Parts: sequence; C-alpha cells; structure tokens
Amino acid sequence: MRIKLSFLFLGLMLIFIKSADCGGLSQARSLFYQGNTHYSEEKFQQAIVDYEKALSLGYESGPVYYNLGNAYFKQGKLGKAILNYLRAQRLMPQDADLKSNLDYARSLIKGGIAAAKEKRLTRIFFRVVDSFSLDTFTLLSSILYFILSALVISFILVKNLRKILAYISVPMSVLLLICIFLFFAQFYKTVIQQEAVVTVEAADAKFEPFEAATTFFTLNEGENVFIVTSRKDWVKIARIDGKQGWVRTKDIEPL
Amino acid sequence: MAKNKFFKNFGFWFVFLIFEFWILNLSCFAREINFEAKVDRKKVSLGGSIQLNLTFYGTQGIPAPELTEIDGFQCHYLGPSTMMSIVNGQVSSSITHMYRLIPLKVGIFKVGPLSFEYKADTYTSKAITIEVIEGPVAEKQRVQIPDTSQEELKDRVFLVIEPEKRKAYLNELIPLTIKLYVNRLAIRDIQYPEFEHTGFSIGEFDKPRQYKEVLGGILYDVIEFKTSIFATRAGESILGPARLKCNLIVRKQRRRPSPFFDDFFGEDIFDDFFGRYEVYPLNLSSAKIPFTVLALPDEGKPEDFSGALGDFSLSLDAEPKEVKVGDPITLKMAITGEGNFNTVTIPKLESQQGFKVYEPQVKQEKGVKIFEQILMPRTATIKEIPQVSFSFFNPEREMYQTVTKGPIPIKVAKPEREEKLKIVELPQVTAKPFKKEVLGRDIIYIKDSPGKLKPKGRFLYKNKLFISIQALPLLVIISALVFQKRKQRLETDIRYARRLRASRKVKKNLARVRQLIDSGEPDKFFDAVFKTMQEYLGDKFQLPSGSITADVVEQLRFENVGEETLSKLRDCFDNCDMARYAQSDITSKQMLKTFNLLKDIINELERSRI
Repeated sequence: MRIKLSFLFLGLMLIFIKSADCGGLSQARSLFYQGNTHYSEEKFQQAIVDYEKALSLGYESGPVYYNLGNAYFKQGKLGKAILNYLRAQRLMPQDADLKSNLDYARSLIKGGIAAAKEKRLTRIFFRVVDSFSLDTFTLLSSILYFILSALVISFILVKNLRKILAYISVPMSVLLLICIFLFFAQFYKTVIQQEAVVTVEAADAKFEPFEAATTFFTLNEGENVFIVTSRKDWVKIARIDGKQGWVRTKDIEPL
Repeated sequence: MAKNKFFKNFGFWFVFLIFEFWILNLSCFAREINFEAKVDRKKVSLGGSIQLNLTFYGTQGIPAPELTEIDGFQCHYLGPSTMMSIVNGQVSSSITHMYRLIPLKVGIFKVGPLSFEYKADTYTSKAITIEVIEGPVAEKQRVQIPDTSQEELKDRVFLVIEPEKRKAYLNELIPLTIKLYVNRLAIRDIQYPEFEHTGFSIGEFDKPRQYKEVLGGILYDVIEFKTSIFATRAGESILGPARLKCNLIVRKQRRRPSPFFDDFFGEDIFDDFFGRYEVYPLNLSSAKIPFTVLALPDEGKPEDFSGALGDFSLSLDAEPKEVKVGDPITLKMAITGEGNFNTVTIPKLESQQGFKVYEPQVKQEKGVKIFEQILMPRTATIKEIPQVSFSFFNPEREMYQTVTKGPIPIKVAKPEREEKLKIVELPQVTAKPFKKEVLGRDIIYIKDSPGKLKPKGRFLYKNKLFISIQALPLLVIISALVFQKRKQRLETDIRYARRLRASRKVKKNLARVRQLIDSGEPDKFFDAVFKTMQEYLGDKFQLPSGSITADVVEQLRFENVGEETLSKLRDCFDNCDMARYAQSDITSKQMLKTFNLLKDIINELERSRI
C-alpha cells in the first residue's frame, strides 16, 4: 500500500514538473503573439519587449529571433537587427525571408562589410555548412550511421549478398564521413567559435586593450566579428578579413 | 484482238499522223495561247459535283480567271495544274485552272461561253451543256489499258533518273536529270516529275528541254527535266524512284468492224478520222539509284571553313578608298565559281580592329554570291582594309582550299571638325530598350507562427535518449558477430556442438525419469536412468553412447572429473545394474535416491565446465 502511494506521489510530481514546463512554453508562445500584435500596430518598441521576454523564458526559435530582428530594424537598430537575424539563421538556415532581410540589413551597414579573402572552394564549403543547422547535420549523420549499420549487419549475416552490400557500403561510408565532417564544421561555428555583432554605431578596434591605445580600424554597426579572447572590459576580436583588434565588451554582443 | 494489234498496225499510224498534223494546225499545240473549257462529265445528279477545267495551252503564266455566276451551279476554285504535252515530238506547256461546280437545281444548264481577258487578249471557250438530274447517274467505266498493251508500253514510254555521279560529298551540288523517253506515241498533260529524295535537298526544275536520242537502235523523243540536288546527311542513300503523270492518247475502239478496210488499211480509216480519241492516264516510274554520300574529311580543315563546297574564286573591292573617320566604306566580296552556293557564307575579315562592322547584305545570282559589308573606320590611323580569306572544300580535288585577297590600301582622313565620332547606325528594326524598373526594397514582414520553440542551447547531439539510441546499432553488430561466430563453431566443432546438445537433452531426460518414479515401473525407471547417463556422458565426453557402462568411470578419471562425482557415478551405475539384473523388490524411495544421485552427477559435471 505504501509503495502504491509512493508511485502515486511520484506520478503527481512528474505531472507538476511537466505542467510547470509547459507553462513556460505557453507563456513564451503567448508573448510571441503579443509581440506580433504590437508589431502589426507599429508599436515596435513594445514588440521588442515582448519578444525579448519570450526569449528570457529560456525558449528560442527561428521565427522569434527573426521577428525580433525585424522590430529592431524598424527601430533603426541595425546591429541588434543583424544580431537577431544571425541567431535566427542558426535555427532556420534555409528561410528565404530571413536571407532577404539579412542581406538587406547588411547592405545598409555604413562603409560596407570587409570582404573575406576566401577561395572559391572554401566559399562553397561554407555555403553548404551554412545551409543546414547543427541538428540537421546531427540527424543526417545518425540516419546514415543507422543505414550503414544495417548494411554491416546484413553483411555479417547474409553471405550471398556480401558483394553487393560491400559496393553499397563504400559510398554510404563516404557520405557518412562527409556528413560527420560537416557536422563538426557546423559544431565549430555554432558552439566553439564565438561570433558577435557590433551593436553601437562605430566601435574602434585598438592595438591594445585600453582607451589610450591607437585605433587599428573602426567597426561599423552590424558588422560581425569573431571573439578571440577577452580581458576585463575588453574583447579581442577578429574581423572577417582576418584583422584583429581590441574593442570594448559593451560595443559588441555575442550571438 | 484489235487492241493487240493496236501499235503494230500500219494503217493506224498513217491515219494518226495525219490526224495529229490536223490537230497541230488547229489549236491546242499551236504556239499562240489557246483556251479550252472542259468538264469531266456532262450529266450529274443533284448533290454530286463536276469538275470544270479551264486550260490555257502554250503558257503556264495565266492566273486563275474569276468565274462570274454560273446559272444553276455553285462554283469553287480548286487550284492550278501545270502540264506539258508531247505529240509528234512537239512539246507544249499548259496551265489548267480547276473549279468544282455543285448543281443547285434539276434541269439542263449551259456553262459559258466563258470569256476572259488577260494582257489585252480575250479568250473565249465554247459553251458546255450540263444536265442535272435527280436520281443517280450511271458511272462511266474507267478506261484502262489492257495488261498486254501495258507491257508493250514499257518499252515505248519510260522514265529515267540520272544523277551526274553516284558518289558525292555532303552538300556537294550534283546535277540531276530526269528523262522521259517516248517512242512514236502521243503523250499529253505531262506533269513535272517528282522523286523520292530523303536525305537530299533539291532545287527547282529548269525549263524542260526536248530533243531526240537513239537508245538501243530506237529513236526516242526525250523530254529532259534538269535540277540539282545536294545531300544533307552522310552515308548510303537511295535516290528515286522518280514518278511522272501524263496522259496517253489512243484511238477509241471502233464500234463496227469493216472487213474491207481492215484488209487494206488494217483498221477503218473513217472511224479514225471521225471517231473519238480516248485519253489513258499513265503513271510512269523510274528505277531507284543507290547513292553514297561522303562526309567531309577532318584532315586539313581550315579554321575559317564554314561548310562551302565547290570550286570558287574570290574577288574583293572597296569603295570609296578615301574616306574620313566615321564614313562608310562598302567592301564588296564576290564569290564566283561552281558549287553549292547555299553553303557559301561570308568570307572572313582577318581583323576588324579599328572598324565598326555592320551586318552584310547578300545577293545571290547564278554562279555568283556577293556580300556587301559596310565598314566604318574609327580612327585616322587605319591604312588598309585587312586581308579577306574564304575557305571551301573542292570535291573535284578532294581537298580544302583557301583563297585570300587584299589587303586593300585606303586613306582615312581626320574629321574636319574635332567633333565626337558619330557613327550613324543603319536603319534596323530594334526592340524598344527595356526601361529598367526601379524596385523598392525593404525587409519582409514578420512570421505569424513562433515555429518549434525549444529550450535555448538544446541540441540534438546533447540529447541523452538520442545518444543511447546511437549505441543500438553497435550492440546489434556485436550480437550479429557473436551469433555468426557461434553458428560457425557449431558447424565446424562437433565436440562443442555435442556438448551443447548434452546439456539441453539431459534436462528433458531428467523430467522423463522423474515421471517414471511416480508411475511405479522400476524397470523402465532404471533403463531410463542408464540411458540418460549413457547419452549425457557420450555427448559431454565425446564417447560412443552405446559403449558406456560402469567401466567408463576409470576413463573419466583422466578428464579431470572430481573423485566425488566419479564415486556417485559408480554408485548410480551399480544401482542400475542391481535393479536390472538382481530383480529384487525396489521401492520408490530407492528410485528417488537414484534419481537424486543422477541429478547431482549432472549438476556437478555441468558446473565443473569440463
């Protein structure tokens, strides 16, 4: 009897935890719709508050970042807009609207964007990597791994089909390796590499991390940089063209 | 019989020649234009139709006359048909405009006399009477030449197709002749020949030529149709057969034979003069000609070769030779010679630097193709019009040839005033330039749905369930490997297979033995115990089951079986032997003891992993 009661208690606890969890999710969802309403009424600042609140609940999705980016854009905050578009891109890399908005926002960056010195093959490679999210690469690799495992099992058990199975397994293995490689590339971009966007109108990148240091180059609002290292209030960043400098932490916001 | 003699009869030919001479002087083969209106039948039923042919002899250039309303008929123009006739070696051409007359009511109607004016001449036909009846009209039997006569005809009227050669290069112009041979026959309404020409492009026929030719000792009147062809695909082809439609004029068979004149002239001379002549349609067909079309060789092909075939020469001229910057110069390039002018394209100017070059104008006449190109010098530094080259394949020499002409020296003066170079475009129909549309640009509107909201930083690769699932295929692979290995061992290692079998079998046997205790049959019980031990030990220690007795205990000592187990084994065998051979009263207690003994032995042996 005591055991039964314990199970009942545990079950109720689980339901409670689950419902608490769902509560956050539904709140985030309702804040999103509220933000949309404000946006449609051209109350962009209120829309920003709603979207930011939704995100502060610990949930995220491509459309939330996309809409937040739009709201910032309408408020004239190009850096914040690009930052949120880039965040959205990680979750929905193939969205055409997002791509269009990001391109347009980037085209408005004062002084343009420093061009990366990339070779054609590298550009193609990064285009492939950027086309899919980390989860997509994870799932694709997993599917290929399951298929290959099924082939290996068949290879062990069915002697007659070994030749055909071997022929199929080779391209499947190559595909799996490519997919795993792309997964790690995206993993590096998403998890390891720290990308940030300049959120102030102009940020001076200095040779050394203090105010009096000489300015090496100036970053414009909306430019994205990679964080190399940080020191107190200063962050060492690398621009797309490879140039590095120290900027104030408050001038940039990581993705 | 009379028809069989038709062509051999001297009397007939005598009368026929006189008749032809008479006709010739009368109308239809005269040099001046004659006009004749004919209908295909004079009696027609309501709902049917008749064909009205308006034929102009001696010309092929008269347009279709416009027919005014014909009483009782509705009239539709069907089209023209040009024909030729050869009678007595005389050739004449004609054009027939055909009309369909559809009767509108019953009665007897007169068509004509029809009268037309053309180039100040008036042509008038005789009136034709047509009867329109309500019921059906008895169909006139179609005239056909008997087979026997047709055989004879083959030698006297036939068609020959003759290309100048039977092997030629792709696009090479080949003269082709189609000849109609006629030997002492009256043929009229000769249409232009047609022939099968798959894989060939054909030109128009020249005006037919007429002459006489002796072939196999027989004099023929020949009508020669000439054209030129060129092959459009390489390989083996068939040319022909050529086909030609015409009408043969023969005398109608007489109605009443006259023995007197038959004897003297062969046939009734009066019937020839005053009887009617029948027209037999002939469809002549020539033999097929096999033809080989050679592809152009790749060897020695000049870079600027663009497919021209023949033997050509190039002449070059430029006018004027003294110009100012921006003034046009006409460069005239004339290609003359023999060959397929369809394949001749504009000769190549060595360099166009310093000139604005316009599209050339092309004129083609017989044996010459002229390209006139407007060049406009852009600077005063130009001293000459560069060299012009033209490459072609000469099928006679079987090689590529290139002819070059120029350069032509010219004087280009600076423009009088230093005004900007103004180049006058040639009037050309150009599309109205598309005005570039200015499109607005802004961000695209927000998303309506939040999509799949997920906790921040949660990735699939971090999901524990997902990671655990990834281990599954590995486990299955390991299991498959173990299974396969065991299967292989079972197939190859008999000792291992027997030992495995022993463990499985003994469990079943023990259950059976246990049942025998309750049944109270000691004989069967001890037999079963003995057999169980035999089978188990046989399988376990690779011994022949039948030979296992109490003596096996000594043997098993070497298999590392424990002394206690051996002692139990010996006891068990002894119990069995006693029960089977001593036949004393055996209680179920004794049986249970033996059973337990057996169970202990088996358990110990299973545990010992021998």
